Amino acid sequence: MSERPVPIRFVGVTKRFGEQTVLDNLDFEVPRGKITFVLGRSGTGKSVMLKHMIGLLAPDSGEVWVEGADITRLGEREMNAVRRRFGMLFQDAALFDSLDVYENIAFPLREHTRLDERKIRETVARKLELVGLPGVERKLPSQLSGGMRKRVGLARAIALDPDIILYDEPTTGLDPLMVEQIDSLIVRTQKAQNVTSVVISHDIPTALRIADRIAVLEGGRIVAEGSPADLQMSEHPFVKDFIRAAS
Amino acid sequence: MKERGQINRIIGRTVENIGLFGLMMADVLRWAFRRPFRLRLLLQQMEFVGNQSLSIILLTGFFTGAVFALQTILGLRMFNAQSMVGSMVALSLTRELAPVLCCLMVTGRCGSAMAAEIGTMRVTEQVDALTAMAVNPIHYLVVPRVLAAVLMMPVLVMVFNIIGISGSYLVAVLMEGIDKGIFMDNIRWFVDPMDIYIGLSKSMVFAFVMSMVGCFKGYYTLGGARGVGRSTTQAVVTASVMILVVDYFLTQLFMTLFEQKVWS
Repeated sequence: MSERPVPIRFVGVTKRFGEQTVLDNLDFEVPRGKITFVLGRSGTGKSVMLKHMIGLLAPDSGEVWVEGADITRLGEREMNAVRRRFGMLFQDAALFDSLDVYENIAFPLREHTRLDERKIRETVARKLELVGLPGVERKLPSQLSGGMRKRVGLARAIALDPDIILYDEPTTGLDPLMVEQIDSLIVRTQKAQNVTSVVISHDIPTALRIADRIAVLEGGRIVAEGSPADLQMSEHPFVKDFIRAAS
Repeated sequence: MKERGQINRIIGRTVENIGLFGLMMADVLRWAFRRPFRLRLLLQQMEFVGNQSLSIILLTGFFTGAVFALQTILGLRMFNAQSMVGSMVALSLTRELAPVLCCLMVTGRCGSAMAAEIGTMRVTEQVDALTAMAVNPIHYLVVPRVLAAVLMMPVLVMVFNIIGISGSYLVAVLMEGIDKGIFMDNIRWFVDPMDIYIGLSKSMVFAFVMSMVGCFKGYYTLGGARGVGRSTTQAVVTASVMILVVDYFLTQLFMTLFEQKVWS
């Protein structure tokens, strides 16, 4: 039996915005079933990289492979089939502010499954339980704190039990206790669902604590990659400075 | 040199916007007939565009008819033809004033809201979240708004027609003492159903323009709160101007198509 392909692979991806080259001939692979962190300074293109993985942005050149398919060549219908394998937690959760928590989490279920209302209610309750927020179904996103919004965003991201979860700056702007909660939630979700997780962040302590693998993005390329221990011993000048600045 | 660069940038941006607008229009037409038909969203938008605009349409329609009657009587009195006021007001309303004014009012209320709502969703990544969840944002956000506007605008224009004529009746008959039989008879005699149909058809085109511009400006919002504000303003200004420009060409077209009917 042939081996399953890597879930996400970038091959020579270049992306420019006007004169600025954000991703420069980038090669990168995400291993299956692990938590991979992509670290880098603000504005280095981490979110751009993440948006390429789910087809929110298309590269100017190069290929983005997801589960064995080059998504840069897919039509809308095929791309949507690929997207259904993803869950994504946006930086500010991106909850639909006109819908309450229940409707937000039920949204992907209503769109992509034929579950009846009882099953949807059970699934929403189960996902909220998983993120530690039972009983908030009828609250509006505006009534939630930043940390709660992120947890509801995560509950929505995992509603369809995706194979891959993308986290865009999950701990930015949160207090240390909430950061710890989100960290353990990422690990718990990973273990409970055995998913491939990609976390975009500049939070080095979190990365060193929970990542299986860390990649550092600088100048549009991955300049260092490895386990947290590897990164801490890296001789790359930028990585050394970056880790030193966080400690 | 610097000015030339700026002019080039403006031309480039304009051409790009026209292209994007055309592509979005094609997308809306393509997705309008695709499943799932989002009936709940359509009804919500119809309630927003139709029901919630009713009070403003009643108010503006009534006073438009009333003031138009006042001015018309003043002019017609010079020729001792003030009894024609009913037909003049009714013709002007049904052919021109009701569709244009009604759509301009709805643009101010709904076009701006569409741009602000979708613009806010864009800058808070809610539009990206839709795409990430394999839901086409044009299908989910734009199609129900455009359809709702196109379906509800003729209803509002018809309300505008009726209330406008009522306003003119009040001024002409109750205040200026014009015989109510002559007032109503003149309307029946001079206003052809085709005048009403033409007005209603125009309003559907204006509604399409208004909602498309509102959604387009919102969809391509850049930046934060400032960007949303800019999009909202641009949506109202652009849609209002476009309605007036389109009105001229539509009037020209209808006059050519229904020459016999209009001028008989």
